[in-house]
Amino acid sequence: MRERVQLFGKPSSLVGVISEPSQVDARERPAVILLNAGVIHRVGPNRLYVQIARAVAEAGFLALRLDGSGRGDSDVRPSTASFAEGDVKEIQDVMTYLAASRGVGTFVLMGICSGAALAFSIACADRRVAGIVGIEPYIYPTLGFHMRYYARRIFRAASWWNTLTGRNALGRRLLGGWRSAGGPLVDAEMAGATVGPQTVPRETVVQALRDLIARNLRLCMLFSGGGAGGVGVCNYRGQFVAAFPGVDFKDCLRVELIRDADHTFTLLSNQRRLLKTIREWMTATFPVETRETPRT
Amino acid sequence: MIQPLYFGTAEKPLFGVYHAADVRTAKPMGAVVCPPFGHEYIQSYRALRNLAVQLARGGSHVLRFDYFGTGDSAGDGADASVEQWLEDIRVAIEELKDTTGLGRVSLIGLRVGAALAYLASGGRTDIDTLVLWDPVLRGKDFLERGSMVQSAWLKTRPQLRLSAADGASELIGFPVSAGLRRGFEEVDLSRTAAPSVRCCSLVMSEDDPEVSHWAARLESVGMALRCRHVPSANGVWNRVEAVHAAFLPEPELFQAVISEVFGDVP
Repeated sequence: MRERVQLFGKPSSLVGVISEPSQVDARERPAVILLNAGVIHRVGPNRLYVQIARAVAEAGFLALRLDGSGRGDSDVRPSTASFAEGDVKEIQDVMTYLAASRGVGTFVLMGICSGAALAFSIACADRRVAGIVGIEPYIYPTLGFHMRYYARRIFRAASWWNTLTGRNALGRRLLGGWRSAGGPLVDAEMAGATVGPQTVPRETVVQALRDLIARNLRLCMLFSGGGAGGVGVCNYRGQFVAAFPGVDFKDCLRVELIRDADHTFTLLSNQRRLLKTIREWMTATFPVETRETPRT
Repeated sequence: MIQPLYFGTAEKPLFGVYHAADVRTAKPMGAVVCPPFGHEYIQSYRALRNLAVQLARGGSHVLRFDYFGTGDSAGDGADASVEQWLEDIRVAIEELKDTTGLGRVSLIGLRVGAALAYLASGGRTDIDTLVLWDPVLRGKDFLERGSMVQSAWLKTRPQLRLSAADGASELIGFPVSAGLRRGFEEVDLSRTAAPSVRCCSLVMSEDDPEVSHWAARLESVGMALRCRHVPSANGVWNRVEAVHAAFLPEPELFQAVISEVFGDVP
């Protein structure tokens, strides 16, 4: 495995590092692109993207970790496009470059949190995306999520105290009357865990997923046990499918919930589990025939 | 103009970013930036990139880089050591000198990077200025405080389980091997002879009486030393609530570091 710096964009203002497999013709398999997690630069939280890139490269996939505009070492984008549009277009241009320079035809996009969301947006816009590994992607709460969320708190004295004193959403409704606290029954803790997809109508996402599955795009969705207080966006493994009723995922979806991990997989034991899961999914989903290939 | 690159040996390539001095303001100056370790490295990456951009605009060449086993450089975190990192700084110094033709360069270090910059300067005659930004004085203290922050942070994530034994071998997402731990524990700037540099600047965003006391001792042995205390409301060091938060230094703090790098250069 060998790593090289690669600049992208006009001017060459986007900085990336390519991890090249040593024994496989990378043109035969999708290339992996790792998308920034928030504002963290291309090495990823806890250097996770470096570890993932090297792990998949060892498994025979070309991998690129890249700083999008305004992140890490990359300049701010001189464009009037919105952030969302600009981010999608940027990665599409990167894919075009890799296709032309490396002969890569398809791509697997990977990202944590906002990186996962961007991967989804790009996949919807570009048929060259053959797979998505979403780590802590956005997800809608379901009835099962709410039941498990509140069930955990029924046996906590602090939760009863907060309810009786109006310190949580339920308490404010009970004390203030149902009409005085409008909107969904979501307290700050839960709201922080489920931010994101509520701005996009669920029906839009459902249709997008149907389109992606129809073209056989493969999804690997990985969730943790959550952030502060152990509150996560997903608290049971079936939530992802339940969140999108009417979508037949066929055999295109793998979901894992690593309950004893946090949002950025801080503990080394959880990093190892995450890497193992990703590597296994990549090799099983896009099997590689290893053979000696002369380096060009 | 920035140039990301891999340099050093084929066995242990180091990732770096070279910022060429702006031709309109170019001075015969160059600086190697020695970054922090672990989550502090992640927190401060963009800030150090912005620092280098400003320094280059002001006329100084700059080389930022990642130590072996960190960032984009080769190696696993488990293979990192203080001894290797000191060698990496030496390699970075030579790389900048080769690239620019300069005979002397400055070292800028942040947190653990400041301690390493200080140690790497020892015995050298080609270091012009040392700028130590919120330096870690003792590696043992750094590990202990980091461990306390980790323990407090873990309490906010009740689903996480870390045994006491495992807790000694990782620090907020990054491995700390037995060798790295030993290396950190041997770092004690208060017991290290002052390097022979033209000037040393301390820039402090937090009040640290031990560092102030150490600075006074350096002055007493004749080191040309400048101290700047610029309290920062956006500090992230050793704060549980700031784990995984970005370090966004206020303009005054940022400017203090820049002005210390340029010092009295005309």
